[in-house]
Amino acid sequence: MKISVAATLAVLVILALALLFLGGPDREFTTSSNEAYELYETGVAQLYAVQRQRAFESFSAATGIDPNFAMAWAMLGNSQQLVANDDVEHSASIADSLARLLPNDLERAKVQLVVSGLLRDTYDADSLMSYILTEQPHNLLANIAKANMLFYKREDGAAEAFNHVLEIEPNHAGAYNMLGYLEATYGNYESALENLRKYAFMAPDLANPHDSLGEVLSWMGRYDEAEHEFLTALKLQPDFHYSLVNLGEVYMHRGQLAKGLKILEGVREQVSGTHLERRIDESLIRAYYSFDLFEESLAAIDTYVERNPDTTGTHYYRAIAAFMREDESACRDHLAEFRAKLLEGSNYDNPHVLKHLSRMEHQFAAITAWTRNENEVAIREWDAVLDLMDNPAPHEIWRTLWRQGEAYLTLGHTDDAMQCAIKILEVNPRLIRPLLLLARAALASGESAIALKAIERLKTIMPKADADLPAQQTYRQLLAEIATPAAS
Amino acid sequence: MGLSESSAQFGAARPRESRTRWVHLLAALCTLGLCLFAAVDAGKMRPNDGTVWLLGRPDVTVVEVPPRRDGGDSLLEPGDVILGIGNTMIESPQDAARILSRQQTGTTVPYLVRRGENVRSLPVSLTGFRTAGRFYIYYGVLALAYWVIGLLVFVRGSEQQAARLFFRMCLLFAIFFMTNLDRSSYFWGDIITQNAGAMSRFFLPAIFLHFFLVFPEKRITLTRWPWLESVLYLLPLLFYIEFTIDQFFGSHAPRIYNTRWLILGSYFSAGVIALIQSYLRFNDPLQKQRIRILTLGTLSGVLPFLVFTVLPGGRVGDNIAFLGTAPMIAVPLSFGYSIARYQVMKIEVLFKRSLVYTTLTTGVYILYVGLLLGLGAILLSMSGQTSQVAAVTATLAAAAALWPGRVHVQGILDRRYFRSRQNLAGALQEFSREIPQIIQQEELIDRIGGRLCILLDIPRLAIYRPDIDNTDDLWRLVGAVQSVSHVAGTANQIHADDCPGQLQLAATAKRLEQFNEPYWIEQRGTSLGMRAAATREQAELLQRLQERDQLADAGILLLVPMLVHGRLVGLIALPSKRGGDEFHLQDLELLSMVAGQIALQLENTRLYEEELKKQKLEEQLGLARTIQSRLLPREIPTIPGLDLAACNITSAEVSGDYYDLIKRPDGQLVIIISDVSGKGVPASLLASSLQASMRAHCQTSCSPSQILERVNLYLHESTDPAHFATLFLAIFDPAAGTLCYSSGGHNAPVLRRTDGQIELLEKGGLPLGAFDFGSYEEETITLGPGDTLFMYTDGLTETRNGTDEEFGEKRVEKLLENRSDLPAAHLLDIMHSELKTFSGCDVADDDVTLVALKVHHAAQGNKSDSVAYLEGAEKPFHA
Repeated sequence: MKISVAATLAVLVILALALLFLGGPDREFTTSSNEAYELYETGVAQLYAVQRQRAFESFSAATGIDPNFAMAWAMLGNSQQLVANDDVEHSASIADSLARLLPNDLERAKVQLVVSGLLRDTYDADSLMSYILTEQPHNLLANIAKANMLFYKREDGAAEAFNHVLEIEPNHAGAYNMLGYLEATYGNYESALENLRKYAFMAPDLANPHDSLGEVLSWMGRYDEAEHEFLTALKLQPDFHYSLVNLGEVYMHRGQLAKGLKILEGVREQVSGTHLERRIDESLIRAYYSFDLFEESLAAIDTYVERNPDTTGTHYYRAIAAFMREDESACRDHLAEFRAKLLEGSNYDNPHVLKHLSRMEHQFAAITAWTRNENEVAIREWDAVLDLMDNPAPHEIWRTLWRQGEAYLTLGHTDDAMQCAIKILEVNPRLIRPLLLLARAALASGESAIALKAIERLKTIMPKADADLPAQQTYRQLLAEIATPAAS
Repeated sequence: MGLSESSAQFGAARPRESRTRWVHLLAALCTLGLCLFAAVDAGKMRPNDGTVWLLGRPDVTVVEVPPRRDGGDSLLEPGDVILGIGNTMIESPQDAARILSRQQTGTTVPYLVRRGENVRSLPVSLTGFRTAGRFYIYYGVLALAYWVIGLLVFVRGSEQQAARLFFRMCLLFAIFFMTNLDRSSYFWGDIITQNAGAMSRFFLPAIFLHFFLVFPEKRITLTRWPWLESVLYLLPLLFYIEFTIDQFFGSHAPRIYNTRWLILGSYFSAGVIALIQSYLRFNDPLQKQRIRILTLGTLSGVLPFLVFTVLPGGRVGDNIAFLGTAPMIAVPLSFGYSIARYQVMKIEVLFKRSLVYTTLTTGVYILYVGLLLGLGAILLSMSGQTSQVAAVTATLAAAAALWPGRVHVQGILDRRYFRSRQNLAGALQEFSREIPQIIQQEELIDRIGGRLCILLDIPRLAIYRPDIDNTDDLWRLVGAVQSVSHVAGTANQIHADDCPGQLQLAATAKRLEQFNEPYWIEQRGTSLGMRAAATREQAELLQRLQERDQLADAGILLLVPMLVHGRLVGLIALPSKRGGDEFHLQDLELLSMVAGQIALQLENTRLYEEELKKQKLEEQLGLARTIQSRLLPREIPTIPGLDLAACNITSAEVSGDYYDLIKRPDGQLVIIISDVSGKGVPASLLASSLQASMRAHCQTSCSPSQILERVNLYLHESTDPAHFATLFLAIFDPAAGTLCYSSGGHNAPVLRRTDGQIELLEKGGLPLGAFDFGSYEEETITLGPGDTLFMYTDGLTETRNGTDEEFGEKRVEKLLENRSDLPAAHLLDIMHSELKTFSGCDVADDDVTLVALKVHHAAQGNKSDSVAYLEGAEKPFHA
């Protein structure tokens, strides 16, 4: 009895001591104020939850309570950067000064790592990151930095790094965003959607997650859902032009060119002079061209050229336009200018640029060959284009594949044409031109079932498309063809 | 309980294990804590999505979405994996609980779920409900009642298996009432209460059945196959494991399936049947009375519970469930009442009478005051008076009118609660006054037994006491009385033939000593059906059953133990009452208390008698010693040329040894050594008579044989034939150097010749006084210089050592061979020392008398040396 009482008391004492020593504040960063530290932690959580303004306010409050709180200043700078506040450098410099006074190397490194992101040339971020990860392999800050670095340097392992970040902090919304993007580029659209939905779930007030979701959905041909996501994004942030552009592009993909054009034109006025304006113009050019609206395409190119007289793309488009107008000389000149523009500066020996140049040249050659009805050449050139792409996302190569398929079909290689179409439709089953290609190739090869399946799908798409879309003619022909007894 | 054979089973002997006791008490505390926790949890409304999720997965996988109590739809579906709640990602149910705890019931919260291959966001409206229904407070009271009664039973009777089982059953009932199987939130406490609830639901029926298989008597089947007790819990254990697996890995919410409910219900039913069977099989009305209330209480509590709660599979509405559960209060109440009134399970609640009496009396007074005020008001309104005088008058009139009623009711209460106690107290007071005044056992049995016969209206009463000379647990009848006429109220002692003279009681006596309570002899006929007992418990039970049959055959219905300081010193055996009336509890209380007093008095009497005997013995011994000491010669006669020495070593109990040395006027020396049969004063008196006779005859010129013949006749005539004496008589003629001797059955003296030859002087005849016939041979031998004659009584040769070996003649002869050169006195000294060394103790069992005679070459005897030596040797070894 006495032993048991003594044992119980001993256990209680040990528990009390454990609570006393282990239950105390476990702070990663130095501050004299509990309140400031709590605000700091709140700010970090808000930052991870993409509540940037709130995070900014929390960090501001934390630095207000403890002006010597180095990490709070660094994170304040970080949040200021995110909310486009002008005091980023001010905060960063204070954080930098305070960091130098910190006695703990690891803590100092962490602060300096954040500061290095704000004042890019102050520290060697890679060294700091490596040091922190050596000391603390699961440090969230360093792992985020590592993942971002891999992402922006387009190095392998970025997805794994972001996954590791999420293992450490499942509520880091930004990591889901990045992972979603990465998965989409790898062609893992479902996984991308899952990550983006998590991102959207965690940042319900942000337009960006919905916009990203819409984009992936549109790449997958889930246009209705994409439209919903874009509209949601616009509802959250009406001036979120990316979503407007994406929405317009969705309509264009659907063959609702007028509707899309209206939206895009509207956005273009709002984003005049920005990269978005160029993107809109390029989008229009590609859409018109894809639907064989060459006149509209030329007009769009002219507009683009007029607005952007000296960009790399300008020369390329001008070359295309010259070719379409059968001005061979101008075409060559513009191509030469395009090449010169691309290789200007130090790009002449940049392998990426050279590869890009080669790809563009093969693309141009393919277009011209196909226009000249030199389909075999066109096929080879399109192959070269595909080969020169660095792990392209499946949704990015559909035009190349489609054009190659058209070339195959013209040559009577119906199976190859079908393969090209199927490869596209596996990613996006609602693209009009590949569907038409598949139907035609299938009919030509006697694969009525495949043709019917493609036509059935077209039946749900084409009625909503513009009536004057050239593809409607092809569609109608197909319908007529499929209706004949022989085809049946 | 504790009246019958069955109750002996009930209180199966088991050492009190303090550790087990502490574990049980800890369990009681934990249960109390759990119930309080469950109460708080059940009363708290926590926002929840209404889903059931799996414990065995790291994520939150919805396994079932039961219909919501608010009728809403959570939009969640079975199979959904909840990834996030309220814009926060979750990884575990704990995360969900933490997030939902910050939400409000009724609000809609975004959920991120993986459904199949897709991840989608759903607006989930949060519900919330208290698992505590409208009757929860009542259930709380119920649980508390079970807890209290269970704890009371355990604290008072933890050494009994039934008490421990009852305690555990009560704890499970308490948990059962306070918990349920619905999980109302992600809160971890819900899981604890849910599992505690499941555990109670699974194990309660088994322990219920187990309890009623042990209470009020342990079933023979369980005694025969003790492992069956464990088997009872096997199915519930399997069910609980299944339930737990469902919680972790199941494809639906954990539940108790219909078949399981039915099986568990059958456990309950079997328990009820066992209780009814126990009740019916009691032939003793007192036994029935003692368990009647609790049987009724249990049945009235459990049967509705079975019908409305258990059989429908627990899926009934609150109201129906309440119908089944509400009567369960009858169980603790009936047990509490039975314990308070009948000390069921040997538990006595000291405060019961005063508390209940006070409560009821207060109730009577409150009722009385209420009635008189009401009646006063009615009288006042009827009279139409409004003055205060009229009001007071009306109230007084009402009080006067109702007073007899109050007195009557109060009288009922008083009689109900104090009559037996008062009667008992009166009788006890009388006995307490009377018993200590009676010293004689016979008188005690006559008077007190007779009074008891009259008081209890029994035809006879017998008292048995252990036979201390018998190790076979034999109990001898020491007294019996019978009531001659119940009407006349007298009692006489009866012949021993009316009661068995002895009883062979081992296991029963052990049980009586252990439990110290009246032992009811049931009808014979119950058989264990066992060929051999496998356990000690079984063996004792078998023996008790055999002894029960013996007692039943003897017409004994009740045995009341008489204990002194925890030791069983006697038994009061009673037949059934006249006319077959039953013994009441107060009868048994009276018997128990009187038995205790009688036992104490008998013990005192025994001690007194023993002391008296001891004193008498001491006196006798003193007298015997005096007589014996007077028989011995005061001095050793001096005979020239002869070295003579003698001694008598008396034992604790004086025996009849003596020696005599008589110097005749003619110079001859008569030597006598004798051992008279018996001990103490009679032996001393016989020795005295023998000595006188021998002295008289030795003065004549008769030869030794003639003397012995005459003395033999004399002794035979004057004493009982059972008394006799052995005697050796020798007459030494110093002048001739001859020794004429004859022996009356005495140990042959040893003669050692100078040349070392040993001769035994064996001539003679039978012991003296034994027979009136017979002749005695005599022999005359010549003693030469250096010859040594050694005479002794059988106290020397028959002394035994620790290994039960006798000293024997050989040792005597050997000693004489080796030490014959010593003077006679020294020879005796050496003999004495050898004897002490041999026996290993200072006190001899029998008298030892030694006489040594040594013939010198020349006269060299030294009288003073011999006497000095003898004075020392005559004392006992320890002196």
